[in-house]
Amino acid sequence: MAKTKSRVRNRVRELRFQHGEMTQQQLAKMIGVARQTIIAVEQGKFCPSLESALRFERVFDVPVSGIFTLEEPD
Amino acid sequence: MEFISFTAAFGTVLWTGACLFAVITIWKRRKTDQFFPEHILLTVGILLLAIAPCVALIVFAFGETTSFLGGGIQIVFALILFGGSYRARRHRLNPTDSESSMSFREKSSILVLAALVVVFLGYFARTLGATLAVAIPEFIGSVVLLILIMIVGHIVIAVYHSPLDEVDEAMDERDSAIELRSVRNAYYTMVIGFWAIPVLLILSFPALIIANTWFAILVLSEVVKYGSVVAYYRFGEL
Repeated sequence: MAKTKSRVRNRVRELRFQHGEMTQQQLAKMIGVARQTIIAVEQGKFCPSLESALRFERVFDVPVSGIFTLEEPD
Repeated sequence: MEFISFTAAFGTVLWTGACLFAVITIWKRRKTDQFFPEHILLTVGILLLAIAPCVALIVFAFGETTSFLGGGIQIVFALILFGGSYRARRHRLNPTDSESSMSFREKSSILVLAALVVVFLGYFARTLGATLAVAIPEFIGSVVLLILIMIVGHIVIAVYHSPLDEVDEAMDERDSAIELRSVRNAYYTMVIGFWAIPVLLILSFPALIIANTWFAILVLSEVVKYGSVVAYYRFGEL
């Protein structure tokens, strides 16, 4: 079976603005990571751990599958 | 006598100015959400320090050395106070999203990388073909220089890093992931590089060359580690 690289997309930036235009710093404090990590997540450069993903779920009140989606290659 | 008096007078003026600048900075922030009870203590401390110029003026009456030293110390402390106040003016607790995305850890890694390359490239260039008697003091000097650059560089980065709160932040999952990958890259460099040592031993190279090669491999793996850290922070997708 050929190994193909899938990509995780996220709606963190969009959800942050929907939640009272929350700043990256405020979100970072709630999740328990550095502001730069939130920047990296929003840019799709870093895929957070399951623990952080569940924290995102709690902060945004949206299921993990509604925040992160797996984009399969064609 | 005139020069010494000038030093003390200049120190007095500078110190008074620095104290005023610090008090104005704190006064301006008193009604913002970034004002803390600690600032009151700091204000009291600064006001106490403000008495120092008066003391220094009295010191004029005493010997030239006392006057010169007093002025010098005042100038140094005044510059520190100016720097601290300037930093306090720029400090925000809630950084905006457009603020620098470069973390303190990233800046620190750039500093370490640059220091390693500059200091040890110089060391290897100077000890190439040298004797052990020349190499040992060069080695000690390079290590001391590296430590000094690290200390001073980290102080400067910490003072000018904005926002200041991020300086103390613990390592998070992204930092750990970057660290792990960078250490892995350094490990591969070291393991492959160390194969050069038995080859040099078999070929009966001089002790200094063998020692320097061993040390160069260590430095190279550190360069790979910090280079990887910088690259992962800037361009890496983890």
